[in-house]
Amino acid sequence: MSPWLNRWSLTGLGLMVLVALWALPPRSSEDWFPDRNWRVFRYGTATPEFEAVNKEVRDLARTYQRLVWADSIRGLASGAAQAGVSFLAGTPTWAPAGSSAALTEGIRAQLDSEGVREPAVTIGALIIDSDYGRHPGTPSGWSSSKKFESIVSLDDQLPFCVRVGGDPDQHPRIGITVEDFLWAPPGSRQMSNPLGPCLLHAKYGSPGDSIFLWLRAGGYAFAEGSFPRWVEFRVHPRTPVVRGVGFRRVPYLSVDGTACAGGQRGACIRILRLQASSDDLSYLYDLESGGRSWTSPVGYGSGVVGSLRNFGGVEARLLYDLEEEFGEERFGHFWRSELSFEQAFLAAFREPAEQWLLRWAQERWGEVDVSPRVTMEATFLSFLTIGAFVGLALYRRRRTL
Amino acid sequence: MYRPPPPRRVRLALIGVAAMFSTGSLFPKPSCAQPAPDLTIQEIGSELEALLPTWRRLGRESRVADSLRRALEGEEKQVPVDTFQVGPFTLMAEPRQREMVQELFDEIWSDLSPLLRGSEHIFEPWAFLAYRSWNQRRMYMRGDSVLEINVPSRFKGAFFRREAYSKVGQVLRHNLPPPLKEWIGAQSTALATENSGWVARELATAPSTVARECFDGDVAYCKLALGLAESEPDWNVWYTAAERRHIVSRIGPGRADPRRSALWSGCVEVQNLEACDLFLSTRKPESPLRTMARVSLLTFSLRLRGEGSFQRLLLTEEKDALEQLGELADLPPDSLIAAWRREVLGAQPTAWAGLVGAPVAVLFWFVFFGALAMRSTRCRLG
Repeated sequence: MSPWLNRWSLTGLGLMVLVALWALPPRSSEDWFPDRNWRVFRYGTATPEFEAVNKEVRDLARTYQRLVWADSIRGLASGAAQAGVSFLAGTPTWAPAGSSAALTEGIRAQLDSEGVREPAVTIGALIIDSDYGRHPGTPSGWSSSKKFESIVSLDDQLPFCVRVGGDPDQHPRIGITVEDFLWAPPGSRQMSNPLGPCLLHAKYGSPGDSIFLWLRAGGYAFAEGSFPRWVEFRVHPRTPVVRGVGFRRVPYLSVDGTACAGGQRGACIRILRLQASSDDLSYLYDLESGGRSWTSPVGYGSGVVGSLRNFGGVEARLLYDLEEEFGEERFGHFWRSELSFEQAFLAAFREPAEQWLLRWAQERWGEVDVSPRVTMEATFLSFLTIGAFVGLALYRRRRTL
Repeated sequence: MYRPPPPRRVRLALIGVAAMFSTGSLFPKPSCAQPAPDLTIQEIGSELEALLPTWRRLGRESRVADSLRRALEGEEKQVPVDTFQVGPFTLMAEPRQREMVQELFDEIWSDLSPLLRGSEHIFEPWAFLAYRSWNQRRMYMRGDSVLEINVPSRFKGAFFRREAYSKVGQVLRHNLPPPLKEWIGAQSTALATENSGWVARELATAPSTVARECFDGDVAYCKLALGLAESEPDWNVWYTAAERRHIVSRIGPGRADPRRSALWSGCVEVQNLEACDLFLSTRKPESPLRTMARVSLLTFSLRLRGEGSFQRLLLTEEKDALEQLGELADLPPDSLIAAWRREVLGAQPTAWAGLVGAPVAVLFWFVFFGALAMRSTRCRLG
């Protein structure tokens, strides 16, 4: 090569090394721009001081209100236990007539389909005024969102798990309605899922303390149960969705979800230990309510299915898939275990949790390619094209010699 | 040619870089937060009450700071503006763009003045703020009666012209009798402009049997497709089962609502018609020929009537949209629709998209690289 070309090549390579030193290994956008809020892009109309205090007030107000809810539900559960009623179902006064009966029927149908004659703890589903229990000093409507929450008590005398949806009277489109609880595809045999994670409480009773800590820290997202669809989620590893788009990635898997399905056990461990990637931090923040845990034993369950999107929401069925694979007895041992999550998993299923998750992911998405390499087809075609032009050049050269 | 190995310090530096990547020692992993101790309702309530006065005070200060910031920004971004009149239009523009804006509105006024004769007063409460710029600068001139015409300079002048027509159309729409206004729809449209070519495209490509029947000449179907028939708006009247599935597929499942996503999947993947209908039932029914075609029919009627037609429309008694259009054009409704259809189909474009450009581009690049490969180069290999 000519010295001129040599010099420029070396300069280019040097620049590339500098860029690599600066940019590698890959980090999240928050690391690059720590002060930037990527999730919510809006013009800041508030001062930073107000933003900070507002956040703290909101978290406290939400925590305060959930504790009031938990207290009221404790009263309802106590009344139900005394009256010999096995589950709670209720709607606010402004709900359409017959809503409460429909909800009761929906819960009974779900329990029957799972073969639960008598729930192991008091369970239920309630739609309540989302302003109920609000601290009088805070504005109305702060709690309105399209989210289910599960209020859980592990109290030996009065254990319960009640799934709650807040329905704001003023904004009927925002809150949870009976339809949200009972929706099932018309014309299909799919059941509605009004109980969400409380179904596991109904079947197996209260979880062991360590398992509960894991559930409360985010594990409830794996117990939500699937949102009813006409077809159960199945993706064949070689379907075009998986093979054809985005460098053979599954577009809706998170970084950790992709790495886990790609065979990296570390990522599977991170998912199960709920050390979520940066995209999911806001969700975990919700769960822990600003780093505070509530008066024991209250759990703030998962929100809309798919909030924790390591596997695009498919993980909402994770614990049910586990139960299906290993049977109810072994799952019950795991659920009630006093060991830590990972030890309980190993003891009950005789397989490390991350290994099972890896298998679970690969059964659904195949071995996802985690490298940035170009596909074989593209490589072949590129070499073919380059070869054709080189061939032309050589042919031309031979003719001129 | 033999090259000596890199000096020792370069090798050491490379080994250092490799070690840094392999261990990740410079990039510590985030630690897992420890749970805080439990709190009671009373404790949280008192903590909240202690914070509320500060929260209220900071909120007030923040709102004041925000309004000051906005006022300052407005002042910084403000540019000198000329206000002038073209026909009935009150216009505002930067001095350097005044001539351009004046020419444009002269053209618009000469086009529309016959139709608007006698109804010029409807523009009196409105002012048009017109400007083009390369950057994101906005002219801070706000108010309910200020209509902003702002098309970035990187777009062609035709876009600016269309936007100006659209804003004039907005004023016209504002003054339409209520049944016609409701029928036209809420979108801002270039009312009273010629767009038959685009309507012909819409008529030919709308995914609806009703629209195709209209294309083939059935006036009753044209009325149906335009939403002028007496039946209530209904997806089932306008579209067949396959067409409804196509519409659902085109709308997409969305992300936020799992129910909607499940219905989409049931309709498109499982081909369950009930799912398609449930999916569509959450949306307002949309007729096959919407705003553009409707505006075109109204414009056609206005132009048929000729001079002062808009004023006549303002003075007529409120009626059903179809009757009102017929009366405006002084034609029986069916004849009006038939004439409009002929006009629209007469304006069908004769262009074929995509049949020439792509093959020519492919051929060009093959020839270009082939030519490069065939010629000699100064940078020989070996």
